[in-house]
Amino acid sequence: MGDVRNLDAPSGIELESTADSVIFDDVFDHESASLVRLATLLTGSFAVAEEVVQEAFVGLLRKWETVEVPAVYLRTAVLNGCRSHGRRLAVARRHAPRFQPVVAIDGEPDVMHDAVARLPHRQRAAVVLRYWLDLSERDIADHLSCRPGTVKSLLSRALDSLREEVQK
Amino acid sequence: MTPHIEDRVRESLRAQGAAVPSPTFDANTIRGRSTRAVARAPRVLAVAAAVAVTVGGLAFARSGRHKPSISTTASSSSTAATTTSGKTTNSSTTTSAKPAAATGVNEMPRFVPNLPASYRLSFGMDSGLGVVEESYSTAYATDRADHYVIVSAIRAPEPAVLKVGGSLTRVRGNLAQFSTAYVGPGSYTPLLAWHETGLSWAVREFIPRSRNRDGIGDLDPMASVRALADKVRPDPARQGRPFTFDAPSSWRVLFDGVDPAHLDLERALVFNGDDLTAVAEPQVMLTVQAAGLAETAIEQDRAGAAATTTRGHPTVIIEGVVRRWVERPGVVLTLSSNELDVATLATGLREIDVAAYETLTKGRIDRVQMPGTTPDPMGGLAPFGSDTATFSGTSTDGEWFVQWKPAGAESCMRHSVPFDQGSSSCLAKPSSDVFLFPPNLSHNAASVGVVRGDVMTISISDPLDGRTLVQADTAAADRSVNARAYATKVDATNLRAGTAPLVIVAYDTSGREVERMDLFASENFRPNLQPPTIYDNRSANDPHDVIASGDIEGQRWELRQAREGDRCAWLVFPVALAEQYDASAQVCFKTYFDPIAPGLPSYIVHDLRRRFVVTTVDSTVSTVRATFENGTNRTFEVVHFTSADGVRRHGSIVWVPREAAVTKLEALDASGAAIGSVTGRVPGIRADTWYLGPIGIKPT
Repeated sequence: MGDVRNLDAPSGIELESTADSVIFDDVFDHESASLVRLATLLTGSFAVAEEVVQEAFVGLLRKWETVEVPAVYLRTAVLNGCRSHGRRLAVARRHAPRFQPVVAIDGEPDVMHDAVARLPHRQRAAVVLRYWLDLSERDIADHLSCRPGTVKSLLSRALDSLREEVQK
Repeated sequence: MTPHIEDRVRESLRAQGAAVPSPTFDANTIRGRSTRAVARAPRVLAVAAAVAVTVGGLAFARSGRHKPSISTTASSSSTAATTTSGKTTNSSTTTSAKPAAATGVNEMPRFVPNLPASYRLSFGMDSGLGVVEESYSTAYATDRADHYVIVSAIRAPEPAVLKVGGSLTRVRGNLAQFSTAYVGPGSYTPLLAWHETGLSWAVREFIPRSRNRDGIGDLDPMASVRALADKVRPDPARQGRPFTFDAPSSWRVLFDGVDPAHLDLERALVFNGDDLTAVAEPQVMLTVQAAGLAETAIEQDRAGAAATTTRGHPTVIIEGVVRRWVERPGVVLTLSSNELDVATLATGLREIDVAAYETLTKGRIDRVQMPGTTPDPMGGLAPFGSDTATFSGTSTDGEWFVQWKPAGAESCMRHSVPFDQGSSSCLAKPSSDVFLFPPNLSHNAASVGVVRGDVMTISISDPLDGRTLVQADTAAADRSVNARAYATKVDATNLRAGTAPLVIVAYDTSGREVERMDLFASENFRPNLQPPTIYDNRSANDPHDVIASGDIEGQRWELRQAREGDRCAWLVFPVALAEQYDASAQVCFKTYFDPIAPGLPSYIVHDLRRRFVVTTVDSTVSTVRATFENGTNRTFEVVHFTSADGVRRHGSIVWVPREAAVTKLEALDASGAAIGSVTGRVPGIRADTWYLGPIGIKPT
């Protein structure tokens, strides 16, 4: 991969051709922003989201030859990355103060946002995929490696929790 | 499932998603980052020619999926070739399977990297210990122009020399962010930074806390910082301890690796609410610009405040837990090694107040060290200066301590006694040896401290009519701690009758006034920037009586009655917020809403979650108008309440959305006329922390 490797990827990351590189760039351009948003919604942290998305793209680059649908691969990778972050965060929270800074996206409180953030990861992922990306339950099931029925259950429980939270 | 809740979810997600900024990386970043995840093309950054810190080898994956492998080792020759050629990126690696002999960082050559601006660097790691724990941190470097190149070097305790590692993870503007790694406890990680001009480099020493400590090894990689002008002078005996360095002239202050000018406080501040037990170790790294540093050090020296020097260079320690960020030129207070080491640094910078003293020192500071005494490197004093002292002891009320920063610095005193749980006061005049605590009225007692032996009498008077409210003789104070440290407590019963005491005067043995503190005097006033006590050890089954409650903009709030044993009234706002964390997570108002001045908002609490609260005690206050730094202003209705038990626990509350930094607050009456106001930056608005304190609004 001449150009790409010389310029940008001196390591073993190699795309087969410049055309591949172009495609990769297209994929990146098309997907990166939305993935960062997705990851931000899932993790609550833009910085973490960027990390997760970068990792996802790195993984895509590594598996470029075998990935058929980059968007799906990336989305799943981001979901997994966010989940991993959540696990680490769970440990961190045990040692963190109760009141963590919360970046206010706007000046008004968003109870729903907070409630979504408190959902368990899978429920939160299901909610975000469903109501942010408008994915079907089947697609969500694919991403979460579960059955559509499970997705229904996750969404139902999540909405119940959210309803309860916002009605407090 | 109702459509309503779904719609609300959609709306919320869309609003939140729309607010997410665009990524700061691009496809090239991905390619660059991917280099470290692939071990098949090891490259060498030849860092240390005669250095045993080996470079190159197999890259490691930050994710931990790839175990770091025994790397190849850059030989001296290859290093030299690289550093002189400037072709680091594509330099090759020799294939020594073992790292070079263990050497110290001081054996690193003076590095003339002339590294290319390309960030395509891949660094290997090597283990001389056999076991390398994968834990990663993020390191930053930047310069004003562009392109620092950073390498992290990891060195184990003698005799093993582990690795130099690190790779770029992203480039954000002129900020290059790398991943670094370190090994287990006892090792440290100098982070080398090369300017592309090759003029300077630096080492930041990571003193990692134990990886195995609760499994959070990768959360707090940075415990100390080093900056070096030309070489490192390691001292294994000081490993893990503060040490000195010669600051290079080209350096400037970075806050957690980020230029304060570009600092996103919301993100960068590692603030931990009020639970300092969770920050029992430093979490924020500071590096300091040499130029400013030198100025500061010189000034300190002239002031006799003894910033020690090493070979003519200023010597500074920069480490600690940053608790507070005040956007005002001032000083940097730091803690090191979780002790009460305090340094005054870097005037001209915005103030960073490292004030983790409360929890960190509670029960730990059990000795007195005076200025000028030989500091204990690991003790309670800054190891490099005599300008800080901590006094402690036991009074009739229990333990207390005073932290003193004398002339030439931003003078502060802090005290901690049981009845007020440690207040932070920066009310003393910098030029004086007399420091006065503002009275704390929490428990019918006021504490007043002085640190000069000739101060005999303290009087507290009403600033409005000059009436002396309290007069106390320091002869009755606890002098057992130190000949120069006194603290006294006065009966504050009289102070609670209305107007808070605002003038404190200290008289010497001849009756001469030696110090005066006027809380209204602007030159002296420092907001009592003190996080409120958040009690989280009370269960929901131990509720306090609700004094008052209400709903403000849909948010339920409650004010709860303090009880015997409590030190404050309780304010819960909103209820849902408290319940989210803990039913007992409440904010303590220490002074029962005693007014600072009639008719004026007296307290401000920054709500972590987008709002802050202003309380006022004057029923004539109808609204509070907040002026934001962007020039806009909004007026907010004040909700008045009266506590069930009558007169004293009354107050008002207003919620001001945190749209921007508030620069002015005005209390308005029903006609819209201003009753009182406070201008200037209202403390606590920007930082993600709980700030509670009197605003000190002057009547208009």
